[in-house]
Amino acid sequence: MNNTVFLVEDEEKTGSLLKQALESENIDTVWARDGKSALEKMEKGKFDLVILDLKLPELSGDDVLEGIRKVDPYVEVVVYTNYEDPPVMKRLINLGIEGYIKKGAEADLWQTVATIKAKLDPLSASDTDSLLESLPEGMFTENGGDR
Amino acid sequence: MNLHEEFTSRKEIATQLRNLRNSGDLVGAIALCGEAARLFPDDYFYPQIASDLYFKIQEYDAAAEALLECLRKLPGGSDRRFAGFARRYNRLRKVRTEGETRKWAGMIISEIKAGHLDEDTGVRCSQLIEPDLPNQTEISEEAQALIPLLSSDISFQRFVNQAKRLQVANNTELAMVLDLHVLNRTRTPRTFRVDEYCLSAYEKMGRFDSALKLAQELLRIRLEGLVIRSVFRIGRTLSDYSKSDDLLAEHPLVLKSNDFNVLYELVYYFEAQNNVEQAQATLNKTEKMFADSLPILKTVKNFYTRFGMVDDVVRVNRSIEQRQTSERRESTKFRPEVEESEAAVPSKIQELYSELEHQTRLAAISDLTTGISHELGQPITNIRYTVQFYRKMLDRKHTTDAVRSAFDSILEETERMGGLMKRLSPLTSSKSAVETFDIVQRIRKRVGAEKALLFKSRIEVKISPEKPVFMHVDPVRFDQIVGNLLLNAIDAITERKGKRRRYIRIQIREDARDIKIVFADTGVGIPLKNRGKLFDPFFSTKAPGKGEGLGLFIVWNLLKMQGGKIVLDSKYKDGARFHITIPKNTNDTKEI
Repeated sequence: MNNTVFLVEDEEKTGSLLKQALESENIDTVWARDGKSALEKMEKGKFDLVILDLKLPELSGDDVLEGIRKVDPYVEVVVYTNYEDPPVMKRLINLGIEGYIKKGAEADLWQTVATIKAKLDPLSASDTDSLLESLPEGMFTENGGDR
Repeated sequence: MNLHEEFTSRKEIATQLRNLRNSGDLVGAIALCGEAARLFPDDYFYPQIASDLYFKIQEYDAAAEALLECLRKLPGGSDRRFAGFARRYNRLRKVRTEGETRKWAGMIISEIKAGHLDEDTGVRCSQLIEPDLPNQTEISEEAQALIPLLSSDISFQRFVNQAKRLQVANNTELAMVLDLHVLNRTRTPRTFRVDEYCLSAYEKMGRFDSALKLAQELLRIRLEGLVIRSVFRIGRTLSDYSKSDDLLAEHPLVLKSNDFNVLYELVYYFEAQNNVEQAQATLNKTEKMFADSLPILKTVKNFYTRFGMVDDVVRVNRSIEQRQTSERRESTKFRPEVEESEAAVPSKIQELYSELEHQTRLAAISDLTTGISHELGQPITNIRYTVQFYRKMLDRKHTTDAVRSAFDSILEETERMGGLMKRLSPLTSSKSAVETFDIVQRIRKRVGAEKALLFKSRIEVKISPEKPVFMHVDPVRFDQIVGNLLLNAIDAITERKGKRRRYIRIQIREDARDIKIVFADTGVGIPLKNRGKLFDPFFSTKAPGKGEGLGLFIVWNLLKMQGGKIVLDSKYKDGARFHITIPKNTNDTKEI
């Protein structure tokens, strides 16, 4: 079974290269070029991962995320941007995002693809979960773990 | 087992699990999960990992079974944890048949009903699997208790309490009860308040059609402010005011309403229609009617600020200050309206107007740097992606085409970066050569340079007066101001389809101190909601690639450098009209 990623990106070249790269790794990619069409294409449970550019024309990225969350509150969302505006980031964190991929000078196409692949692997979620959960309650309290 | 041993052994299990997985022994890993689950029967994550492993080896039934076991142990109260379950549920849903999923969902719902699940987990879960459930017929006691309370307003408070209980316990069931017993019944004054409550319950659930149906029927009995508000608010949420239009056609008296709930939504309504006069009139009326309510005054001010109605902001600010000194404690009434309207005002603009008397400069540096870092980040990303993509393609297959398209793409992107720098250069170049010249002549020359474009777009430019007006400023900067405004105006007119009058009018006047230029076009105009952001850098409503949103920002700054200013005429309706003031004596020209 192929995974399906939903890419929301207004930049023609960025979107096209990322889509080609993902598809070369057998990851189906649905691409929306603006917020409005993203919300039209969004369906509950349809996508395994959403990659969302924050800087979009008209409807902004955080508004789109809010709309996406209304349709599917649980889908994994990775935001994709090269600038972080603190109030926007705060709102995004409240709306639930699972990570972000950098644009700009640190942009790395194949690293991005690898990150996405890792997130899509059915076992990868367990990895982080089991690591986190194998620690007893209170490990991260102020007193530390050596009680 | 003490805490330390427990930790060690869980950690060991995790390490072993990872080793088994990495070595490809998924079946062994599943067996270990089983052992671990016996050792730590309360831990939900061992069955969860088992479910993932079964999924990986495509044993979907076993994966579903393990996931159900995980759900039984899943503690509530954590979004992240439940999201982990939900994603796995959706993933399995995609690979199994509808029948299998329906059966599975049925099993989950009986676990919920039997009380085997954590309460919070149960509530979230029933919402998640609701669409997959076979049609329900039984209803809960909570729901049954609600039904008799629906029939009259006499026990309204008891009805509300019961409805809230059901809403928390099972929102879907509440919707079901309302659909059966309220949605299609005849509206009467005896059940007005109950129905009004159901209307807002539908609105909260996002069931807008049902909410609007109730609203329409209720309004035939009585023009109640809260009901009217719902209709408009739904229109605002959906960006579709057609039902509100119908309401106004049927009940024109609503426009005369003195209810703050209604007035508040009317402002948004007029904004959506871009009806400046009505929006302003509604705000003026609200301001007068509720002159002694601080939260309402603040709300009104936020609207004025967002619409760029400067005089109104100053006035209402004064009444707020007077109120604030006489009144210490703020009531909590209308706080949501204050907050909502505040959120809509860009913070920068708020600062700007709060110090309006001092004519503070546009606090735009941070926007500018953010904008530039985005504008540059994009081409850099594209260059890096291009190189990375074609490098890998080249490894696979040697073609000169790949190299050529990579080179072309990189050159295109560097041009884009250079373009941005060039665009901003009027602001960064410090040299300023001031001379005296006839600005009417200068404007004509600048307009003449766009003759071909103007002709193609069938736009007439009217410049008055004919006689020369002399001025002592930097001619290059002056050209840049005129040029930016001119190109904006041409774009705005071109964007407006099927317009019979297509012209730009430039009027120049002078008094003892200043030169005043009025620059008007018959284009699409500037919608109310964008007026507060008009002069911000990188703010553009043009299609992507058509404008980078720097024109008016540059104009604003160039004028500022010469001690001048530019204001949008908020009353002008037939396009956009700007009032520009430049002091004649620019000996004290400022540099930024």
